Amino acid sequence: MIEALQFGFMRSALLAGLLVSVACGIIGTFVVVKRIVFISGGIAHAAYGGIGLGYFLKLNPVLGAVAFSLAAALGMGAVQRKTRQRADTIIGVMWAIGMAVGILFVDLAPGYKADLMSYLFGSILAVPSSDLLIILALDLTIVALVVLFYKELLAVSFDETFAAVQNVPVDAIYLILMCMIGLTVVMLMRVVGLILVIALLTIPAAISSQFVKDMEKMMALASILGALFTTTGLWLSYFLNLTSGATIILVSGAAYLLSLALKSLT
Amino acid sequence: MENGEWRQEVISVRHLWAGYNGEPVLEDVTLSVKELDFIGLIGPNGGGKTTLLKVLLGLLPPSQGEVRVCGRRVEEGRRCIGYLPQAVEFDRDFPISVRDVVRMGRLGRRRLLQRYTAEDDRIVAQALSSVGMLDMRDRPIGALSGGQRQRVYVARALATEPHILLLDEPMASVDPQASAGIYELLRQLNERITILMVSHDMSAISSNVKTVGCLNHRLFYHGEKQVTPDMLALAYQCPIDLIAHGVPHRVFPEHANEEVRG
Repeated sequence: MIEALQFGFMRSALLAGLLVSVACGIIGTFVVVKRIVFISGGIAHAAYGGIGLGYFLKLNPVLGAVAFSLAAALGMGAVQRKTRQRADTIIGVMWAIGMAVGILFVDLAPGYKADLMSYLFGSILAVPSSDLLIILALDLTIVALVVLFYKELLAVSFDETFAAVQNVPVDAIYLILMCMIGLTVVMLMRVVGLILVIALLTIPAAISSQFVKDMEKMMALASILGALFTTTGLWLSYFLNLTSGATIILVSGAAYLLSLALKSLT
Repeated sequence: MENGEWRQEVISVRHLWAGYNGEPVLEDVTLSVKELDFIGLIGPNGGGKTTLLKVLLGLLPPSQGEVRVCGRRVEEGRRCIGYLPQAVEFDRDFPISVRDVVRMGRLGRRRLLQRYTAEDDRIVAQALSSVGMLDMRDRPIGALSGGQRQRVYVARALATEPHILLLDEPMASVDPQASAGIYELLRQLNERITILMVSHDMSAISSNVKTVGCLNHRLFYHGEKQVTPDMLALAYQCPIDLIAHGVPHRVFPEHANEEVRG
């Protein structure tokens, strides 16, 4: 197993997996307890518009994805907050429009789009070091925001009404959470692809919530589980010559089923 | 708290109209709550009980009328309110300990980016022990019974160091034995804190509060100490399940309300 580490791409892939697991565990916990899986999926798919834009403008597509996912996060978050009716419909429409915009931009972009599929299905084995730096920066941003606003994030997640009465700026905190989801989604996209982002965002937190009843512990356990799944999935895909993103998700999914079985036994 | 004794007004509602999407739920409501009152407002579901609390908490702007809490606008005045929301909004799986729930009562005293302090921890412990839940502080909130959970929420409201407690259906998810204990707790708290509570269950409220009012779009409240024949007549203005279980429902025409207001 160790000999695989002599390859630079394998070391980068492992590092990327470990880095995204941190954000994944922290933000996935909020997504799971606040039950906003759907809106997170919407942000992930709308981010594809940014990938297309990146290709079109010949910029790093990851930066385009960051811009689009932040815009989608703010837009969908605002819709969720302000529209009482059919918020899920509007979010579904934004989800589709984001993807469609991406596809058209890619059509319009000149030249050969070699690694386009990598954004849909992930390409952890081909993460360049520039993307590693972006992932690290996003990770640090997310950890810093959560540490700074932890008591407000917890209160808004648990009981928005009470938080509002306590003069917590509930809308602003909610939008900060949305933006952090957007950033996490972009990172995860590099690892498992945007189609599978939701699985890696929610599964570690969902497993973790079955075994710990404290938000901070849930985040820590979810991050550890995420690291475990990405690493295991990566080794398996390397030795069995399978698509890494899908392997990581299947490892996570199997672990989730196992945890459900374990939980029902105890 | 005998009649005639001068007490400070802590909540003042004058000719309040409020509702949703232009549909008024509260119509011309006037209410004066004085220090150390313990008022129970009864009324049918949809009669505006929760709407009134939302207005008092600054969560719903009135369409007409004036509301003052502790002599200030509600956005500032609500700092002196401890709020116990209706229990139905609860997610049993939420990963949070009793202590962390109660600590949310300190949020209003701390700014963004500011940590909770040792003083907060002291006040949280004090609030928990005053509801008899200090031993449970490390338990997950989902592991508690309905009655214990309501005690924790009372503790959270107390942690805000309130002058007024607003309680929305406090006994909704509580078995009768536990609710007797909570009423006893409220009675003790009322020695120093004003309490306004709303419920659709008249039988429980009327024997445990100092004064009763009836809210069904309009408010019928005259500071009566208990359910007098007068009060009962007013209560009958409220359709559906106001009267204790077993009494047949009587529904009066809406317009009868206006003749009784005085």
